Amino acid sequence: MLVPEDDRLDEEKMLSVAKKLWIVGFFFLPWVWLINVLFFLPYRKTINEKIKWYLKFSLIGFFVYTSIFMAWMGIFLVNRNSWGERGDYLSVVIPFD
Amino acid sequence: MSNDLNMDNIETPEPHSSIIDNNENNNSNNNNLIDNNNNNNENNTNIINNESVTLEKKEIDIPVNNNNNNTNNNNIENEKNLVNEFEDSTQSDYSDEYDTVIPPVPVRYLNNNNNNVVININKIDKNKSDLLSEDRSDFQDSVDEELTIPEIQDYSDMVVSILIPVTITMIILVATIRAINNKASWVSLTPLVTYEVDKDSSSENMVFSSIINSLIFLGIIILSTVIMVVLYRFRFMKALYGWMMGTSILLLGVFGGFLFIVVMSYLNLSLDYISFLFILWNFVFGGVICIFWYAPKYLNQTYLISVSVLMALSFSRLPEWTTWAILAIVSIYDIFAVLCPAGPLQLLIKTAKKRGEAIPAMIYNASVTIGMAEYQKEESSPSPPPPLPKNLVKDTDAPHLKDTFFNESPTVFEKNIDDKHSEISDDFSAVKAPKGGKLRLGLGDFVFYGVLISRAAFYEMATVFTCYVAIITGLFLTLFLLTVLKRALPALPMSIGLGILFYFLTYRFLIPFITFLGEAQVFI
Repeated sequence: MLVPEDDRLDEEKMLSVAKKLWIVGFFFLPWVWLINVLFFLPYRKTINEKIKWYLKFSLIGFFVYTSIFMAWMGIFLVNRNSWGERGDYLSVVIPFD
Repeated sequence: MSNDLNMDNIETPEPHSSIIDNNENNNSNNNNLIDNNNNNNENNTNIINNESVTLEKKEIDIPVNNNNNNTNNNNIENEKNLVNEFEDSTQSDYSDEYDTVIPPVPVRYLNNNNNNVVININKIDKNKSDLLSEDRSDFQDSVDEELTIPEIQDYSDMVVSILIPVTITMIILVATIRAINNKASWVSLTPLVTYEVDKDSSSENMVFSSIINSLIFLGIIILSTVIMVVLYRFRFMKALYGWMMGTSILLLGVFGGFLFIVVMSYLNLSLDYISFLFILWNFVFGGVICIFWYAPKYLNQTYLISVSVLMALSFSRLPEWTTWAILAIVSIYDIFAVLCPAGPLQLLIKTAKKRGEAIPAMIYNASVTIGMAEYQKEESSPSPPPPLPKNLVKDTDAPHLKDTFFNESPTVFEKNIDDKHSEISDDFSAVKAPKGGKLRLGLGDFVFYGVLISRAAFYEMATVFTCYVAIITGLFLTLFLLTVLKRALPALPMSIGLGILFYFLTYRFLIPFITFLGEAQVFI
């Protein structure tokens, strides 16, 4: 909605979009980085190297954040019982065993 | 519809109708009529039946630039030379009625082979003058863009492109409600309901409190709509977008988080606060970007669907009779808001058209193409791929409908030529006349369809199916009327009316019948 109706993406605008989404992604937002990549996927043959740089590091950042998150989830799920009270304290949903 | 669509009258010039025939460039005759009929016979034998024919011949209002009839004739002769690329269509009456000069509109035919499109320039009643004047701005804005004329395939694509998101919304809602048997977690009500309605309470009390509840609900809808219209009218755009963003964030965050926890409990999976916050933070922030900013179109549509699902889920927890009363009253209000000249939605759409802006509202944009496709199209082939599916309302320059948190009631479908993304419109969605553009459906429509279907899902699966068929039937009827009337239409009344009717018919007759058959071991 904040995008004007007759919006046409030129190189400059694409660069600024990629850059803004890339910056935003640092706030623990790998999903935004993925959106950044997905958004430019159809343009991949026309975009220039600068934009590609942001997209590349968006993708890398996405995988880094995601792997960290996945590692945490794995650790939590494996160790929740052994952590005892602290594990319950961290839990939103405690499954019935 | 002023013009005759019948095939027989093709050659005869009718005073008010100008029909442009794509197939044969026989336009040398002075008639404004161009016939597509010959092609129809040839091309569409099996596929196009009577219904399709009517669709094909949907008339498209095209603001015509020509001041004189003479120019028209000249233009028509020139068409031979231009060979389907551009046509300046003009209407003789048009110039007389309207002093304004409209720049010629280049018309590019999607498919030269298909001559299904009849362009009716003349049919402009004085009554519709308002619409025309509104349309002009759109056209002027879009002059530089291709003006594509919808064909029958495009139209069916549009219908399907609306049907799919509505169906997805309903499937998610029904699955959620049927899956979560623990009604206790659903008991919490919205603060909108003042009267608790128990099953024990007397019928008199039940009717009274249901009506009071629904009127409160309606009052909030009207209030938020009016605020939105006022904000838009006086160009408090930052406040407007801030409001819509705030409601989107709250909706996605609060209800999304709630639903997430409920689903995780249902699946008996463990969830910790860190993961929960991380996922929710990503979901909400990504949602804001997808809905309001640059994002792939399918993600935009996905988020719009999820917004309407969350909204409908929260409303589905209202007491049963309050839900019915709300649905009925909101449908009636939808008619008023969209069709009445002073209706808030009508004002919103008019204002947006005047300014040539998108409707500041949450709208599902149903166009057939994928977001990026525009960019590629320009470079590549002149034959345009199907228009991008966006919100249910087709938009080009056309307005978008908004859904705000409470505003979601009425529905309007709009078709526009262009579309950028779905937009959040305040309250209602309107269906708009097709200009070859896209069909847009307000999120409010999705929400109230969803409320109806989830209320049906609380009872039986049989009612779910009958209500689904009824809602879809109403939706298609509305779309059909849209092609005929070519203006924004309320999408709620027919669908919700049929849905309520079919629910109670099923409840009262079909289910006892099936039960009886089952007990008596009768197989049909």
